[in-house]
Amino acid sequence: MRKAQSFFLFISAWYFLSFLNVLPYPHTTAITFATLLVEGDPVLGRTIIEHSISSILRVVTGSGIAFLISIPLGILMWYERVYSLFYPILEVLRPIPPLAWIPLSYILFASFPNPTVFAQIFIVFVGAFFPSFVTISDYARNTPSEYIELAEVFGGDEMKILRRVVIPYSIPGIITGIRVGLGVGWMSIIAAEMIATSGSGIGYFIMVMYEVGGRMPEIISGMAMIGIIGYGMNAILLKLEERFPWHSKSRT
Amino acid sequence: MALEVKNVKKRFGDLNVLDGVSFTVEDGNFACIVGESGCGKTTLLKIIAGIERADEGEIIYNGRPVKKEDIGYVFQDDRLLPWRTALGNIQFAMEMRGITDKEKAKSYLELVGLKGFESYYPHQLSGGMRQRVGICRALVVNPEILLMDEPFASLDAQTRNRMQMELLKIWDRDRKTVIFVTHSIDEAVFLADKIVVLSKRPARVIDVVDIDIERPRDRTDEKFISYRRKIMRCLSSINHAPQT
Repeated sequence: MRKAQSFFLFISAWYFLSFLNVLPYPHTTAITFATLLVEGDPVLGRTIIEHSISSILRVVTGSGIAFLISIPLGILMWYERVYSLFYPILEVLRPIPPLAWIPLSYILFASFPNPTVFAQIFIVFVGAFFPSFVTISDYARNTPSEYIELAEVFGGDEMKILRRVVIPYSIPGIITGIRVGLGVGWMSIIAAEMIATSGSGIGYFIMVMYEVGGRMPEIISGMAMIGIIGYGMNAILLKLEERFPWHSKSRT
Repeated sequence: MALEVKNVKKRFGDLNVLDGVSFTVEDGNFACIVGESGCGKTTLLKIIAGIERADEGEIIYNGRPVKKEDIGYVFQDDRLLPWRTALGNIQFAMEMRGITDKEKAKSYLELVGLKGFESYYPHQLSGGMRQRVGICRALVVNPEILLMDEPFASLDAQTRNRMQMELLKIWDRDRKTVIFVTHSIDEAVFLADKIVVLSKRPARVIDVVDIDIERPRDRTDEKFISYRRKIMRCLSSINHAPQT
């Protein structure tokens, strides 16, 4: 019921703005959106689905590489020695926004066959790495001392504690980290596609629709697609997180 | 053959917790440590278990310093790992010592009356069942000494009485040395061969009482009540003595 009300409010506000000539009408936009799902866009000849898929592939690649590093490194932050070595470096790099890496990544990947795509993937990597790393390392470092004590009382050494206590305890944190990382990665790819253009992708599509004369229904359709995909990714991973009974209890 | 706690002292900064605690528990005896909450009973147990270091003193078992392998530990909170099943929690203790023997873990669950609950997660078990898993986890590694830190404190009175009887039954099978911490005098008199009474912090041993009643014990029995009274007096005398 609340959801229906919220939707109604949103649509009414939109109609009102359309009435004032600020936005195209919701139904016009909906028709454009539906058409773009099945027919290619007027400039690039690709459907909005095709654009989304190329963006998604870049996000999956970039954030996948990020998680391959952030998961083990985040877990290892449980060791005080590793933590004190890496944390200061990462804290300095973390505030640099992903997009600020674009010029540098262009130069770094200049000799590659398709430098813009590499640059985009790198931007996603930067975007996904830090939030997932911070979430996972927070989780690992907060492994309850009671569980460590339990392992110690039965004679467990550091390696066993890491494998049998810290890692399983951190699994919900890893999933949260992936969720948050993918979210930021998804935002980063849209922005990266607008700046480092490469001929496809949903961000690129929006930018082109703007450049060929401000086609508002197409632009809004693209934005809607970004929202739908982002929401979907988040929702799936949230469902996965809820499957861990110790998740909410441990984070009080 | 005995476990000897010799002149154990422990301070946490300015807080003097244990002020020279000494007592001896003969092999196969059931000893209870009673004392007020916060008097350092848990700290003492952790020192015996070797996860806390004493500032002074030593723990001797059969003439040598006590080792981790001698010990099985039951915590006050059940302290089961929420991501492991009942069986998995028992296997955890074995894994810490590099043993894998699923059948043994299963048979121990049966011993504490939890056959059929192998694949239940802690949040699906009642408080009493969780504590049984905790006891089972301590026993499965074949300890010489079983340390129990108020394991029944959070259970309701009925469950608690039932658990005490079951514990005695399990203990009677192979008569391990047990050190059982509690602040319930009733529980101590019901369970123990010997009760070590600790003073308020900083803790010292104020009395050691041998309980000479046949098991199973009857709480309404005259002897039982007189032991209770004796220990209660002992505890209150120290509490009302002028502080120095």
